[in-house]
Amino acid sequence: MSPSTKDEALAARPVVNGVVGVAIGDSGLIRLSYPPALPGWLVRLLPLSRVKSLRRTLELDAMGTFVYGHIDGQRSVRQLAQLVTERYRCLPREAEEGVAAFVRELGRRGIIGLR
Amino acid sequence: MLVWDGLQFELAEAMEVVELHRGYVRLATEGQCLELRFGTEKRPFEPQRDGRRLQQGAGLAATGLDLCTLPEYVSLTGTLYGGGRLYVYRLVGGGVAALLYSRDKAVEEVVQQVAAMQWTAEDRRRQWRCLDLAFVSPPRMVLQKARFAPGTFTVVLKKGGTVVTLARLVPADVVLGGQGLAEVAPKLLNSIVTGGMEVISGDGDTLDFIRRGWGPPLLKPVFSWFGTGFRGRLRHDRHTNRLLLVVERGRPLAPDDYQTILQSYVAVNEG
Repeated sequence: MSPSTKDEALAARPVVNGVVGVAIGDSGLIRLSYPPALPGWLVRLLPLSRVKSLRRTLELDAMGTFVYGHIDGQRSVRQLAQLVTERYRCLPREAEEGVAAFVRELGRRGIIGLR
Repeated sequence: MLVWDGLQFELAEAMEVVELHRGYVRLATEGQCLELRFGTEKRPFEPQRDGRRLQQGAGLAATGLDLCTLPEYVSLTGTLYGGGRLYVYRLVGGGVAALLYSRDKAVEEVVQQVAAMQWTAEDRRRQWRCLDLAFVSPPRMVLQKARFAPGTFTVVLKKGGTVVTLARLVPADVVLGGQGLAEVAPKLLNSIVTGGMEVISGDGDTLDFIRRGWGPPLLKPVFSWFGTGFRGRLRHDRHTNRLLLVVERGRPLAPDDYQTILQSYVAVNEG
């Protein structure tokens, strides 16, 4: 269930989806590969082996790499934002909004879930 | 402390700035909200007539505002009217501020907040301090817009034919990505001005740039006066990990005014 208040959203703990692949690029940035979310009718049409082989990739920027690297299923969004504030010296609310947006995007792609 | 568009206001603990516009600030703290509308008092505030108008605008019963009876231990430099959710404070110096709370507030609580309020008229140099930015604007320079988004805080000021944009970007080390200011400046300027720039000076952490007005060479000084170019400064504040950008477009400001903005624009600790 999606969090309904800001506090609930910040208290949520992101958990990485087990099927996500992680590679580190030459620049030290994380590249994620994950199965795309396909519409039901397409999944029914395609052979199962084909569906399983489909992957999308997403290369994270420096801050995304930093945040993703600290997602461990235990740290909440708020705690991740705190780490960003300390590391990058930005305003706490900027870190919260930025991390929340990042977590939302990863969730939309099925890369992480929230608990 | 918040100093915005002429009004200086002490922020209570845990009070957060949510929205900023010309003559308007919205603050939030622990489920409560406070909206401030303020500006130059164009004509003497009449608590019954003007109070009813404000109450109607706020969706409250239009009964007019009464002069507040202050506790004995309190004295204010200005005059306070109102009650319940809406108060109006006439400040010394010709400013007036309306405070709209999300819940009823007792006079004693409101007095604590307005006691430290100060007003600076438009025809004077104004201090500005909001979130992690501070600067001084020349007389008669007005706020055109302000925008806050994660990583970027932009303020646009206008005076006659001059527009000055102040932008703050964080984190600087990520925005720069190992590049120098001269390499990054054109990309940062893209959202503010068009056309190439020329570097006037740079010392690693500060870059001054210009784009001179267009036109035939002999007439360029004339065209520059009409303001067809831009100039500015990009500074890397390593201590706060911020990039501070000032861009002046249109008619050039007087040298004193321009230097006032450049020298005073700094990143500060929030609060």
